[in-house]
Amino acid sequence: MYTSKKHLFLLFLTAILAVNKSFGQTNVKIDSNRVRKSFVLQLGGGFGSYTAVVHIKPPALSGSIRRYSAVGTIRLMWYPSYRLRFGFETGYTDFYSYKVKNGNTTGSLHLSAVPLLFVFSMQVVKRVNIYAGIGAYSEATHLNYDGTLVSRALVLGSNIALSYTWQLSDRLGIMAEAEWMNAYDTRDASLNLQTKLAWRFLQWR
Amino acid sequence: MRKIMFISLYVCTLFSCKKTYEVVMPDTSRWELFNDPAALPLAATARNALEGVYSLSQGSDVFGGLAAIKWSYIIEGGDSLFHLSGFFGKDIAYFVCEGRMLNGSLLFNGYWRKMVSTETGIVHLAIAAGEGAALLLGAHPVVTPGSIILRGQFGQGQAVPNQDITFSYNRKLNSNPTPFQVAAHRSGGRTSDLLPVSENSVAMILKTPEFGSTGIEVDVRYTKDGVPILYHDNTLNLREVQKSGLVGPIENYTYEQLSTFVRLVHGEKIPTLREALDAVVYQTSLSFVWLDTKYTGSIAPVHAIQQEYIQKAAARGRVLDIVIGLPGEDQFNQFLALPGYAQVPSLCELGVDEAEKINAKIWAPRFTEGTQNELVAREHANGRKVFVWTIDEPEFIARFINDGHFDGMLSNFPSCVAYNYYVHQ
Repeated sequence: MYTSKKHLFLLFLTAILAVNKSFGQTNVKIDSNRVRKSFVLQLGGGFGSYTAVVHIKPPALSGSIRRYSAVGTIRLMWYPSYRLRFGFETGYTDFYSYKVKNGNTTGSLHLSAVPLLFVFSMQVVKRVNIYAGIGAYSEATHLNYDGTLVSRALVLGSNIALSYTWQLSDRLGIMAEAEWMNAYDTRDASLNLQTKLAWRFLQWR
Repeated sequence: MRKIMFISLYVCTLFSCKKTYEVVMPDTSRWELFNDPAALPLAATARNALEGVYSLSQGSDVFGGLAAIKWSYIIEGGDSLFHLSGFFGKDIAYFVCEGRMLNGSLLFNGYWRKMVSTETGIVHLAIAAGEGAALLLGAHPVVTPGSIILRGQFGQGQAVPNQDITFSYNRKLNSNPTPFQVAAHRSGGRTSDLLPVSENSVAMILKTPEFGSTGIEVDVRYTKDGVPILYHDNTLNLREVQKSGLVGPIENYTYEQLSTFVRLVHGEKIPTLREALDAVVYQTSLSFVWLDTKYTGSIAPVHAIQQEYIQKAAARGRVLDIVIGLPGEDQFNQFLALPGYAQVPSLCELGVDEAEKINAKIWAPRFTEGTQNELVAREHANGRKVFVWTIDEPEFIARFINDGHFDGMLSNFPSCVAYNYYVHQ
């Protein structure tokens, strides 16, 4: 069972340590690339697999639970002159969906999530970046049974991601990214594989 | 290298798990002697005479020195199912057993549990013919101190019982001319206390008499289509229900949607208020129901159901108080909008002035206000009962029973309230 407090603390600790480490590197050799400050937009999509350990138990399940879905995310990152980068991530994914049958009545449900995450990022080795985000997921139940409705809830959550970037030009790159999204209160999680376009749309020295 | 180590440590910690606590109900079906085809149900006279305060000469290090032993029953399929419960003073421990008689002895088979931990196990008890069984099986048993000896063993988890426990009859249970209500929170207890059934479920209503409850508090909300149901929290969440994909306020959903998609943590359906009161009236001997108003809006639909079930209980010759709980100003004002509100049985959690204004049947101050004996006496003089809520700390439960003059107490641990009330002299 995962605990939200632990995750929040760890993410906070990670950010503090990373900031301290970055600010403390007075003797680090800074190349021209790092001195350059910029905003980078990362936009892409791919495939997500629902990976939460808590089982879904719909009492009137008809067929199986579909755990795979398309996922799309957009991330706006600020690359400052030091190592730790900051940004905001949002997007859309369906965690899972299923159908029910109750007597002669059938229906369906899918649970979607929009991440609203404040993201930290750091380059680990050349072209490889890690991301850790914290914030919330706006989850929505889309129900089609005894009428249709959308019911929403804001759930604390986090993400972590690892990306590899092929630089196409000074401003453009292609990223391959594996990302784990985790919503705490509802214990929903998914592992996503995405390809993204990274666009350094604003830069200055 | 340090960077990789840091990342590895971070990922390991992030993905690590904490211990999940659970209580696995012991399998009590394996005692061959108890399962003997010749074993018969106990006679009513034997059951009644067995109730009392007992001293423990063995097992007191685990359970404490005294136990309040009491019967409860529910009705299932037209049959009465009796359970013998023992409530202890240490670690909010209790046992629940079924009883039978065999070859002149009385046998009791069940489980014990400590609410302060996950400790539980099987318990086997017996009263030999020469140690009280012959007396209890007589036509008019007169029980005196030491005249009943209850011996047996208890074990840990699923293990065969191997630790001795012995009870000796000490005295009668405490009883007052005006009964004290041992009122159980959330229809019997919280799911988070690792009980075998879910809070605010029919199964819990049928289980809670075993914990010593004489009454219950239930949380009432409306579904989108106006059906009063039992549910505590504002939203559907995994503390109360199994994962189903339904999120957000429970009021967003119709009863049909909830009934089809949602189950409580232990698999029960979210009950309607009618289903819950049906269980109370037709399957238990509970004498008090507190309908805690968790909704905003008109109280009229709940009032109609309240009146209907008061009449149903009366038709069965039952003494059953069903009161509408008023926890805040909004609900209080809604209550004032009911025609003839002063005649509607209610429980007011606000001040005594508000309780008097609506002629509440019960005034229910929060326990943090203290025993307030002068105000309690004033309300008693006004013909009003006074309940205190919600006390779970054993030391406070004992203090409020010993020093206060309340007519009832709401707790998540009714077995602890039962112990302290019944052993009180």
